[in-house]
Amino acid sequence: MPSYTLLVNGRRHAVDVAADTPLLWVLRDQLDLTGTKYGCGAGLCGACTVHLDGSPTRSCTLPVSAIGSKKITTIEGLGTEKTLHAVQQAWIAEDVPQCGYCQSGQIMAAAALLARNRHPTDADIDAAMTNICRCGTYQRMRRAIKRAAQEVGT
Amino acid sequence: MSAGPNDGAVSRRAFVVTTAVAGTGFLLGVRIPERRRQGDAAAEALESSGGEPFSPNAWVRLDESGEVTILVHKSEMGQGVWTALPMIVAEEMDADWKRVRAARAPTRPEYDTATGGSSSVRESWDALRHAGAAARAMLVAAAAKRWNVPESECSTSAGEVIHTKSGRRVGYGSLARDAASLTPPDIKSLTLKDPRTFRILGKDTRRLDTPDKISGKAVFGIDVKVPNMLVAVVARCPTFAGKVARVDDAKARAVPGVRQVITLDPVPKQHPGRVAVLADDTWSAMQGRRALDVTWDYGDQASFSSEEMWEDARRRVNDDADATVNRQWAPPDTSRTSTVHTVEATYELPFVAHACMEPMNCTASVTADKVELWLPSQFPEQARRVASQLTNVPIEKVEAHVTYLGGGFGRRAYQDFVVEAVQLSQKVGRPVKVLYTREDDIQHDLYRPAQLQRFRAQLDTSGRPITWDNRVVGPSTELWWNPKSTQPGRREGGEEPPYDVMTARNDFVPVASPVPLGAWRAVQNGQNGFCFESFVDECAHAMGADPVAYRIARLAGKPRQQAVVRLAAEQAKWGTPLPKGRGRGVAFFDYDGTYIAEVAEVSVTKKGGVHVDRVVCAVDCGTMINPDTVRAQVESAVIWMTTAALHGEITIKDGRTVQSNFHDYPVLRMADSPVVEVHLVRNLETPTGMGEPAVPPLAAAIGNAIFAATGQRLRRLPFRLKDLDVAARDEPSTATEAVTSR
Repeated sequence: MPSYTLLVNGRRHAVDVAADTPLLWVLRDQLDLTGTKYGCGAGLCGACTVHLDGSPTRSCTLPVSAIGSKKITTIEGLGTEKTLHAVQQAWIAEDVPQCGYCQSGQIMAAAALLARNRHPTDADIDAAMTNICRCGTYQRMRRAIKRAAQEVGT
Repeated sequence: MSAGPNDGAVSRRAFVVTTAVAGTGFLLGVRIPERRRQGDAAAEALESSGGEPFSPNAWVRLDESGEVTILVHKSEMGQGVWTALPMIVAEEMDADWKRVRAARAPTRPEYDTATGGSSSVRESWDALRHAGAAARAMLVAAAAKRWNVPESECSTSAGEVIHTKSGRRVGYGSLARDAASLTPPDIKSLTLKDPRTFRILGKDTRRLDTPDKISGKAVFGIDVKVPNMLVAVVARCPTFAGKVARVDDAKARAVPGVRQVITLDPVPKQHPGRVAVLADDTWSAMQGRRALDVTWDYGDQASFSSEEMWEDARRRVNDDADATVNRQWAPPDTSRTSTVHTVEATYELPFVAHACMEPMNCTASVTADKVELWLPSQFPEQARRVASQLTNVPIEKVEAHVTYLGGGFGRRAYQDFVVEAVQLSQKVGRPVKVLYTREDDIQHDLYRPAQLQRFRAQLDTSGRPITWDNRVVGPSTELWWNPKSTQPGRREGGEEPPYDVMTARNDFVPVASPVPLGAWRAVQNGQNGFCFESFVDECAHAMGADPVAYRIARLAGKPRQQAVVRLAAEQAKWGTPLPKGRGRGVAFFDYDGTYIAEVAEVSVTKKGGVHVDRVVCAVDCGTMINPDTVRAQVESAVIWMTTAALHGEITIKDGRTVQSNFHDYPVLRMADSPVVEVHLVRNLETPTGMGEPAVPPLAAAIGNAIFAATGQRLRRLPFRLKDLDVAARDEPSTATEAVTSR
């Protein structure tokens, strides 16, 4: 079994897994970072979204062998216990989650959007937020992104 | 411990009990049998047998630090019970909401953990209020005793008992130990608050589960990991009752991490034949399954197709001889001759899947004398029973730890994933987590039944239906679960319409189908909502009446129902002009006492197809626990049902489900979502449910709006552009302008 060193949330982890193992399962099964979720296994729903060097990436279709030295950030590493990320704070303010299962991926997608676009328009939000939520929290997520944009922007 | 005689709301077996918790405070329980719906046979049997009569079902724990813990006995699947149920207790207890936390109640019969039918608040309301009131009464008694003043001079506010005369105040926490030593009050002596004085209920309250859900900390079933556990991914015969003919598992066993490959026989109503691959981790199990070489015996239903089933259903709609009468309200009145219109229409709904975001899963640990389950389930008590039956371990030795549910929607009321985890753990002698892939989840669901509903109504000169004849044709959920049933249409809808119909009749013609059927958010109300409200719209148009005015007239004598229709219409600016290619449609539904009206605004364009721009909703669910959750549930239901109305369709070919993942079973995403506006009616009526009620009317509101936009009536879900003749119309740019009021 090949060995990989991954930089996850600022910490290095050595893992021995098959080269085709998607990052999602390395995070969940090897590193016990279960905040990142499995939803479809085909890059369709976005529940597994993490940041790879800051870019939103669907980890369920990304083989561990393709990561190299790129920095991985998961929901567990987005904010800290004391200081939540602006997107997480906005999610609380708008009381976005319902079942909550897709929300890690949604928050990661929103955080990546705001990192590259401080003042996204509705069209920007539509283009960036393609993850599925079966509870239908879309409207609240849109409000929360706008709220976070204001926080970040000021 | 005390028990009072039956005096109305509180049952004769209601009582209060307390326990001192060494050094930490007290634990208080109230036993109040919950209100039951008819047909919940197991629950009724438990009640009438007096089973475990002294087991309280609503626990409040108070620590000396002042922290209040309220046990939640219903599964949190997004609908907000983790917050709403504690709010009810905290209100009557006069707790400081900031010091309240929720904890999961154990899965035991006395807690009635079954979660479904929008029933949690409605059925727990009385019990939880009494629990809170009992705790408050004991804290008041403890303070009065300490101060040597009459209890009547003491009041409570936000976690404190106050003696106004002397200005003394004491926090609940420091009264906990004293309160634990007191005799619990007679439940009859408890005074519940006047709802007009509520301080917590009726106020927008942030959900208690949000912090865990924005940080990745919330534990769902899929996240469970127990020592020595294997992960199982299971190959299931793609036909619903097929078997394993031959397995070559050599390649699967060669996949690193794979530990065992186990063939499982079919389990009627739960599973076809299966081959399970068990591995150290999920990916290895998935790869092992991919490497399996299985030859299936597809069984005798391998030629079934939903297309042929539909042809059969359309043929049999006139098959009077096979129809069983479900319900008949008032005898047919043949003396009336003032009929001015006969309206007839037939609607069709396909099979649909649940597609919960969290695919089905369960973790089981079976040993000779004990079973432990960790599972996201709506019916965990039933999971205990199933596990006990499969293993012969006494049910008292079966524990079911309920996690957060990544969506429920009725899917997690079933036990297929429990059966599989228990079977496998038993066979390998280790804990096993069974995980469905998305493909498994969609192809081995229990689908909302496909259905055809035909209506015939005769209207008098005022537009009132003199007769309302409703025939449902389709596969029978009842027969699927119970082939010997004499009421095949019992679960297929065709309820009494909520309008002033003189006489109504509903019958059912079953169509043969091997497709597993189950409850799907709102169950049969979902089909009824679409069919009834589309048909009522057709009746209004047949009379040349305005659809809003027609409904209000038909709801004569029902002011709450009329009020929501009026409110939704006003807020949607009903009657004001819209650009060409856009239209508004209204629908109303009475969901077990929750009244809801929805006005959908749609655009129909050649390029964009049918787009739902905006949905304005008015809802009356009686006393609101957390208004923001009421709003959230309406928003959720609108997105859920817009998905079903525009995209939802499972088709069956060669005896198996055609769709498999979100590429061919698409669901609404943010960019396609309508703006949802929710308007709440505030009153002090008994609270009803909110998880489902906004689902049923929406597809009809959309269809009625399509009719308003195009003059064409679509009677089959999902609504598809190809079913509309839009080619003749040129689309002005205004038609594609999205509503901007986000």
